[in-house]
Amino acid sequence: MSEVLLQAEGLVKEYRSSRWPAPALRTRAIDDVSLEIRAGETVGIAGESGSGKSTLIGAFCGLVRPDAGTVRLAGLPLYRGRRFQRELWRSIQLVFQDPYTSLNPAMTVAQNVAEPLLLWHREDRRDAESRARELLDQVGLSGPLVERRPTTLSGGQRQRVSIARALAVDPRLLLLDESVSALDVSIQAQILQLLMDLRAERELTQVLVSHDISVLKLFCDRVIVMQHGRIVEECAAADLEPELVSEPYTRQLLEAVPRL
Amino acid sequence: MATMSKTRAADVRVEGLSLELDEPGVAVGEAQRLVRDVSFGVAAGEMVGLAGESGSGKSLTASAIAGLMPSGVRRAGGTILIGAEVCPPGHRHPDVAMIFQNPMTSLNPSVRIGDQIAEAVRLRHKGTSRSAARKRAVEILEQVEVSQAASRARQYPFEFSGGMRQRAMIGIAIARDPAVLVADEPTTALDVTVQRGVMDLIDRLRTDLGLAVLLISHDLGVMSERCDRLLVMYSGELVEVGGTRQVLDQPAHPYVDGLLRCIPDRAMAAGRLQPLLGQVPPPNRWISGCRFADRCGSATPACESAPVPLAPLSPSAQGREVRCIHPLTPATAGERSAR
Repeated sequence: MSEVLLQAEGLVKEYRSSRWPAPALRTRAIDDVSLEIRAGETVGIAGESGSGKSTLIGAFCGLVRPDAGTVRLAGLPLYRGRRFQRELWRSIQLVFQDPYTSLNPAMTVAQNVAEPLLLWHREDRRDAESRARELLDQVGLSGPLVERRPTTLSGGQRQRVSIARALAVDPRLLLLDESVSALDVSIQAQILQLLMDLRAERELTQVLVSHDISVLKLFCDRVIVMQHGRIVEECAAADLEPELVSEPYTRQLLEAVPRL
Repeated sequence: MATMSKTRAADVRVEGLSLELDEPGVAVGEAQRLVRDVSFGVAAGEMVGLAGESGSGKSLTASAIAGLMPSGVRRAGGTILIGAEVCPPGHRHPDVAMIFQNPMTSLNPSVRIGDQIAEAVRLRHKGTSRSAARKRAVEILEQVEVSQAASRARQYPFEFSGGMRQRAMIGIAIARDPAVLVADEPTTALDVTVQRGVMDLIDRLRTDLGLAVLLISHDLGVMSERCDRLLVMYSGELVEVGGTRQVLDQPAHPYVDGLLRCIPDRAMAAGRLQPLLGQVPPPNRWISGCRFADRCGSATPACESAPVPLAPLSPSAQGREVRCIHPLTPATAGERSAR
């Protein structure tokens, strides 16, 4: 078995929403979550809205500071006290759901992808942009398209740009937060295929959050099912069948999925 | 059970519907045509699915039936019949109700749910008193399976969950006592478990009220469970029409076949993902021939040169039509998957 890449222990995150003068409303988004992700593995996180999937992913990459618990990347703690260890950002990259809001509309596509290179590799702009073009070529974008601004691209093309941007700093862990959910099925299939090819080429560890069980079954080795901020089921993706799962909630979820 | 008011069962018929952009500066001709020659019917008590990807024209077709076409789009041809009545462009036929994808943006955030339903009741039945309309609103909420309907009716949309909001929207739709329900992606924003509940409700109302339901969705899974017949659109045209099971099990149009191979469930069964290459062409690149030709494995020069009609697949296949000059047969489909 390969080494443990990401280890989370006892993660808790509580959101408070003020309802002054009434006492603040406390919501436990994730409640005592522990899990291990091994290098090279592809893990899926399933659950309904409000189950804490995105909060958990946020805690893995410094977007959400957990109230309690530890996260370690290859043995190094991600949080020291209240501070996120920024140098670890390079190894963990996130691709968001909405390709329409996750790129800078004022920059060209190539500049968008070059930005992390300038930040982390301190390359000069020309080198960074030519490297960005190589990356864009790898995700299937080339030609005059890379000089255009993201608003002129289609959803699938923008998601390809987001992936190239994430790969620019050679991450070890790629977090995909509903990254294929907003796309049409034919485009979704193209992006899933791209991610599977990249996984093989780069020995990437991928974590895909999705509400779509069939996508997780196809894409992942192992799937974690969350409900009310807790992990209720952890099993091999192939075992996600109503007859095979142990938890009643998972069965209910699987049975609700429409079958073709 | 709430008292059910009489509904006039009616069929919808759409014949040769064409919609085009009506804006200055747009070239006249094929470039401005967004929906071309769409014909289909939905019988009372039937649920028909209209499937397609973004930009295929499915929502435009739906809004044309409901008389809610966006500004800048005009009907270039064709007729819409509700029962025996011809619907002129832009006419909001009182027997047609529509529900939308996002219930939060289609409900008024500052008006209580019950009052929004009562408003629809009073619009339809002129002369209904306020108190009678409120009472009817509570009955309707019960009918759409909202628990504690009387107290729920006094709440605002923000106090409702996503699934509950969609039920309230369906309530407003049935307050019109419609004969036809146009559901535009009604469950896309909902979780699967909630989706099942809402689809069960629409199904039940269809049988109870004898509604003709046109379900617009990109989710073929939902359609395979709920629809009697399936219409598939691509680039503003119907490309395949037929019984749901026939279309899904033996697609005849290469696009439909390719689309099905992209669906994770099917890809799992096939052992690999076979993405459709390329993308849907934008309207200004549409050609008069087959619009799928540049992405199609079996395209020949003849495909692009002349318009391809929507023709019956075979003389024996009832109601099965395809817009393709090289339709797939079970034998050739097997070859394709082996390739």
